[in-house]
Amino acid sequence: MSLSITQTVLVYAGIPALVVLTVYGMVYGSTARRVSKRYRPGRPFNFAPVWFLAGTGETGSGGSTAPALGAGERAALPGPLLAQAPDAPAIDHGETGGASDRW
Amino acid sequence: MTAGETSTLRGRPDVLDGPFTTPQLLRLDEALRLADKSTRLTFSVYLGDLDEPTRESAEKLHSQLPNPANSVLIAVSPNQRILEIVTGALARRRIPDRSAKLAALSMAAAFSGGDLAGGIVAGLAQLAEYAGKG
Repeated sequence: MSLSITQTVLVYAGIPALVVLTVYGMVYGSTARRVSKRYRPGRPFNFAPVWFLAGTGETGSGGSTAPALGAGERAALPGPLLAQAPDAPAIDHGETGGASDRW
Repeated sequence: MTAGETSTLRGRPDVLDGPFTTPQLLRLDEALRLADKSTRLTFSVYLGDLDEPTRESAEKLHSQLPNPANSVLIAVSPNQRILEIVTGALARRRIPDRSAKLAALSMAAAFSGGDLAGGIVAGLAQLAEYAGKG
């Protein structure tokens, strides 16, 4: 069996190129369309603020999903009215403790 | 009463548009519920920008929780690369500041590697362990 030059190029270069392109498309085709949600230090983080509480009966939603309070919905938490004003002073509930860190 | 509750009426919870995938949200929810259940403290996680000064801003958020004295707030600001752990007056007796600092260190280490959900879940478990049984 003898192959012409065109056939040889098609079989030995065309088919591998097709396979490479198919795999490339399968790998990057799906991820390129949607923006990665992953946080990378130093890159801007453009998500709306969220506030997570455990899903108990008190906070609603039956405890099966993670309820999140959007930042604009902080008022949903039963708290003193004063605390809902953006410039309200922190209400003294005794001394708070804790720790801070940066990365 | 929560955003999760109202948005499920519309079909898709807003939180799915956030930085976490569904499995990460489930892990976070599980970690929060386990921490609350085992310690009887209220743990909450805030993820977003904090106003300057960040410590006061985090304390103000903490004071808006239903029972601040018994609550622990983990406030994470990825843009400012700042982490604040605020413990209420009663919670502070169970979680000394030094233990909170240790948890903060390991969380910050995870965050610097880009793992927000993993760091938060690990930090919650660590804080709950320090607090012991409630």
